[in-house]
Amino acid sequence: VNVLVVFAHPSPESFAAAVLESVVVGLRSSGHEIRRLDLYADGYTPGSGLPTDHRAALVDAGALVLVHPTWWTAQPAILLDWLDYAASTGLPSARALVSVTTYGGSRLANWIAGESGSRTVSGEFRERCANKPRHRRLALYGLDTAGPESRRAFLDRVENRIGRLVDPGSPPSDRVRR
Amino acid sequence: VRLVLVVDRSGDDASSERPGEGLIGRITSAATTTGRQAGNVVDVIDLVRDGFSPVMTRAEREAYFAGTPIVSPEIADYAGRLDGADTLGFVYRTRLATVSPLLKGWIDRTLVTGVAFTMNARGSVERDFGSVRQIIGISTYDASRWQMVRRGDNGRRLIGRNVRLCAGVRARCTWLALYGATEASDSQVEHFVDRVEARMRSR
Repeated sequence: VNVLVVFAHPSPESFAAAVLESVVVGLRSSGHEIRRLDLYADGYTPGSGLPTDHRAALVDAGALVLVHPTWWTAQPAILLDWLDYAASTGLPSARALVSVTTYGGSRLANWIAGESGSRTVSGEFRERCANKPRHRRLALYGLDTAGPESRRAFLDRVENRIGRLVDPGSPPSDRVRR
Repeated sequence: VRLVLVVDRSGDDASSERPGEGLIGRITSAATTTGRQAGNVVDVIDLVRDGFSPVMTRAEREAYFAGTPIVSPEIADYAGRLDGADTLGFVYRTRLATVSPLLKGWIDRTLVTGVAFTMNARGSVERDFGSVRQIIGISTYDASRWQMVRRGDNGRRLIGRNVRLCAGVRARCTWLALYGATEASDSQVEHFVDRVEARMRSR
């Protein structure tokens, strides 16, 4: 599968950057082709529309993987803006949508607070995709208090699962634990 | 009563069938004028006029974990204006069934630890929006009410739950929605602006 991986975090030394590396390693070892976009590093400017190469990458992408921290239960503003424009392309080839994300707070706290970001992708964004791909997630809750073991375990989970999540032909038994 | 209105007029571009004054601009001026006539102090944070960037910077993110999240004078100014506010209002056009990116960026960068919440010793979030008693959301939607019911209104969720929880569960949240805004007739828009004005008078 031709996978478009979009990363949105201001710091290349963040845990999110480690998650991105796990995504890339996991996809490569499963034999997928990868196109990476780093919205911060590429200097993406909200409000100015999609650069031509981003638009072309969206049209070609067989799967879209979003790697980002969750702030205020949603995507960082830079990614939210990008998604708004990306939806307008209809992602004609995409058959899988995956969010790989971290939350500072607990699963319960985020559930109470509404989980608006996840709903944005599985709701209107997915609806505007031509093939209505299923939205799947890999999420680490409680990052603010997570120790090195649980961080490592999450990176391993991402690396092991991402290859199958972007492939809609993967066996149904490999469901994402939400 | 002190009210702070955070306004994203960037949505006016797409709904500019009424030249001269966009819908969000019109709603904002109606809310501001009526609120002031009712004897309130209304402070408008106009993100477009301020040239606000919604992108949280690397320095801000690193300072966030160092416990001193405010590094720029513009954010310090916004945070200062929120201090002592009784009501926090948001005016924006809903995009992708959620808050506009510009407004999300304002929330990301301004409502940080020490402004909207604090972290306790266990790493849990505790509310810190002590003075805010109510939240008002005013949004226009390209979609119809039923489309929004099906998709879910994530902007309303984010503001009505997540932001409101920082002010405490007893804080009220009022939501004023104009659905199908791009195709709304003049009388529908008029009726909506009347609702906004009535809400500002009733405080």
